[in-house]
Amino acid sequence: MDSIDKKVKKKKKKKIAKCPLFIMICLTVTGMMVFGVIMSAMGEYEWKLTWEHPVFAAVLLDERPVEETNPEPVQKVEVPQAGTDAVKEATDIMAEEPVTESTEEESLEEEEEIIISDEEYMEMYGEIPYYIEGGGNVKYITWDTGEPRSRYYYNSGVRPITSEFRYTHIGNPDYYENCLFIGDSRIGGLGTYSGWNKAFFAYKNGTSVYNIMEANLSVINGMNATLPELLEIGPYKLIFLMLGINEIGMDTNDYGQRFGEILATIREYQPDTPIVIIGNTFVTKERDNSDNVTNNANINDKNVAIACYANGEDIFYFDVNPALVDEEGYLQSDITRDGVHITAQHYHLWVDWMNEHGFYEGYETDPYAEEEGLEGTEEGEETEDIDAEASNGTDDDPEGGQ
Amino acid sequence: MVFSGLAFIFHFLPIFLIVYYIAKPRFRNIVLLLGSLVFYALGSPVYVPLLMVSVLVNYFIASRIQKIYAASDKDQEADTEAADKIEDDPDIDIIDFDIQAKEEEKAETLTRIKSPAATVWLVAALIYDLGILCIFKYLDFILEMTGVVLKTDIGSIGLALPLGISFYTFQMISFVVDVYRADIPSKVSLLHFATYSTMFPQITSGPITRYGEVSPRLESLKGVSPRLLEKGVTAFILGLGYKVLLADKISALWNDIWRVGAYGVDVASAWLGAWAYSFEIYFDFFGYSLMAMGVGWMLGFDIPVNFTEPYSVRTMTSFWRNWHVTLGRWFKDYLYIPLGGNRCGKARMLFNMLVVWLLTGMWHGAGYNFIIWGLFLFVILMIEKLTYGRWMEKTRVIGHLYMFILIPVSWTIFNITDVTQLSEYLLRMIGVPLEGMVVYGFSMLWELVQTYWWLLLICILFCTPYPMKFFKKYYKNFLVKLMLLAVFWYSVYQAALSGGNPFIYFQF
Repeated sequence: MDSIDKKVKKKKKKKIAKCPLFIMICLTVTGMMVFGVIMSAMGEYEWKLTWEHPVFAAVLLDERPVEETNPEPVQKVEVPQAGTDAVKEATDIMAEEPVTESTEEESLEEEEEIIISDEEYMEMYGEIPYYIEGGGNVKYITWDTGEPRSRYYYNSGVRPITSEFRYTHIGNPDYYENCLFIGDSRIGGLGTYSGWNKAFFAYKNGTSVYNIMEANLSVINGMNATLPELLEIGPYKLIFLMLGINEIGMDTNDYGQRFGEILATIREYQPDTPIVIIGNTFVTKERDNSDNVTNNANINDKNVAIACYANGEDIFYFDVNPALVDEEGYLQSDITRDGVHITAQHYHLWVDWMNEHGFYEGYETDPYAEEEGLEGTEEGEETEDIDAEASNGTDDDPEGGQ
Repeated sequence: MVFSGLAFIFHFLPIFLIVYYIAKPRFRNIVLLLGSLVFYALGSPVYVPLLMVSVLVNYFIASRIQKIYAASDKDQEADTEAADKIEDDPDIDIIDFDIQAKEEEKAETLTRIKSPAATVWLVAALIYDLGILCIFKYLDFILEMTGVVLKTDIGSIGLALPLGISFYTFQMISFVVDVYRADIPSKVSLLHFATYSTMFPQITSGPITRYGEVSPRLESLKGVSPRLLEKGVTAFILGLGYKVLLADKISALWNDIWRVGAYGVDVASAWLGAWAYSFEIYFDFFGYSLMAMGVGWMLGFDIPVNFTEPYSVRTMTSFWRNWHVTLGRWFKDYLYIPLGGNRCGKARMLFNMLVVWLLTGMWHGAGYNFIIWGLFLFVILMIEKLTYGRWMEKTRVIGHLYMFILIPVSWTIFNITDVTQLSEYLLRMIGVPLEGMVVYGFSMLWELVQTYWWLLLICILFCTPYPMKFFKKYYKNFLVKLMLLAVFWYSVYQAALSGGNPFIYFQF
């Protein structure tokens, strides 16, 4: 009998030996399942078991319990203000006579425009953890986006619009000389199709606030550099920052905080350069309706989380959406293929919009041709100072000639 | 539910396999049938009744034909046996010049066994199957075309495409025709036919199997050997890797180009994008087919190979012998040869080819671009047949260069469904400037190459026969198994991140 048993056992062993990969898959899958259950039971990861989501997927995707993600309202990252007198004076002078934002937003949004103080906001939306102190002079309009369709965002009840400022028309692409644009594929598109050849566009498709500091960014014309490398040179005239679409599947609180950290880092490297936060652009109605994550409510929530860093003095918030959306507030379907990015021939809408929102007067002509002259207004003189500084910075910059 | 999704890999497949293996062999067909219906219901619940009705209608018709044959005289039975003895010649191809003697002999024999009543039932099955396909797949397109002709807006019905309808309809037609031709002489049970028609490993995107290929397993009730199980797991993991790590990754390159549109693309980037899509569709469909084959093996079935290194060929003729083999075989066996194949002179052969390729194009989708694509293939294949095809096969470098150009052009026509956008893109591929385009040098090309060069090299490598040769030779090696385990988990991780991209061929 013993010998028969041994034979049966041997046969079974042989059978197992014939499918080691299958056995390894079974063991590792079981191991992951058990690990997922234990870790979720211990509260390390979110307990989530649906047909599409095995319990261990929370471990793979690093899905933490919601209450731990937002235990306390996230505190605003302190972004130091620009240091030099020149910048302050220039921005102060320009801020003296604030003019209400261009009529595009007004015609688009007929809702009541409101400016909410921090206290008022906390009173109204105190539950929303990411709303942080210091809303700058960003203007909000009310916008109830309804019940969130995914865990990554909240209904903040407002929508930020472009910082108030006395903007001026830009007639010369050279205005953007020595400006640094940082961002993802959308900034890449702007760099490729704007025709602003003298600006620096540092971007990478798919990059986000989580990896922008380490990413090997493309700089137009086939060069590559990391953001710290780019920030070390300069100073730049203006820095534009647009990040947020690749973070659309991340929690808004975390995104807002990381964004603030990046702003702080940029300020550290470039203490005198005004920074412009470009708000994330909306998606088409089709995309919005079919996607619980990449939708306008989430994008707006992300924008609310970063617009509050704008102080109207050396950090500004730009909302480019008025130039790109239809009457219902969705990205126009005929200027996009994927519902998110604009097609090449329509970047001019964005370019035109930015040209209508220039920061310094006197750039209708070549800004660097002093002999051709900037207007002798007080603003113009101040602008010239900044411009001269920026120009010097470019001259000192070994990369400046590209 | 896609094979590369977490729901299939970690929920459906393990649960199903446990039940399937625990069940006694004689119950396994019913387990497979029920499992397949659940699988179908999870993806397209509304159309489960349609699938079941199609199964019943085709089975009923096939039964009627078999009854007619059973009642026929001994002479007919003798003829049937004679026809069965004539084996299909694998060399017969829809594009071959030579008339095959065996084919003729078989055709003559089959003519003798045809009975008018059986033919009526066959026609009824074809009307039903093709009618259903037309209603659910082409009705809106037909209405649109009618509207264009009548210069009025007729509107659309807006029916959602039932999952896998093109595949299972063709499979059912093949069954009824095989019965009609007496290729399936013995009576088939409803359970066997229903299981064959709805088998979840291949219902959504093929391969389009013939009943004779799966009947040995359906009827034998044999268990699954550990060796076959291991082979199945290996094929499944390889397919998963092809889909998630190659197809889904390289799709980003095409997406980068597609989203800016033809107006912002330089010539070189346009070609790069077309190649990227060519890689994507190959790895996507090949990956799916490998996974289907792998699951088939896990269940004890031998599901036929659908791809045999199609990108390492030298002519379009060879390409279509190696790409989506089971579809090409279907058109050859059930359309081209019945139309007369290449036996009725050159003009008739060309006409038959035109019909086959036009319908091949339309089978892939209801759109003008698919018709153009079918015509494009017909023209290329016709030219190859009539002129340089045989010579090109013998060349080494020129043949590959020739396909290096034709493959991306062909897939571009297939890929871009809007005819205006298609023509714009093709114009950019040949360097014709578009009015209002905004191309500034080759900055896009630089960026794409910088971002994707390593992935492109991997894709090129995996289009050659060497990786599969390697796996076939060394898949029993323990280190290779460890590597496959790593591929499995990395693919799962990537699939979890992306949320599971559907397969391209799911839309057909």
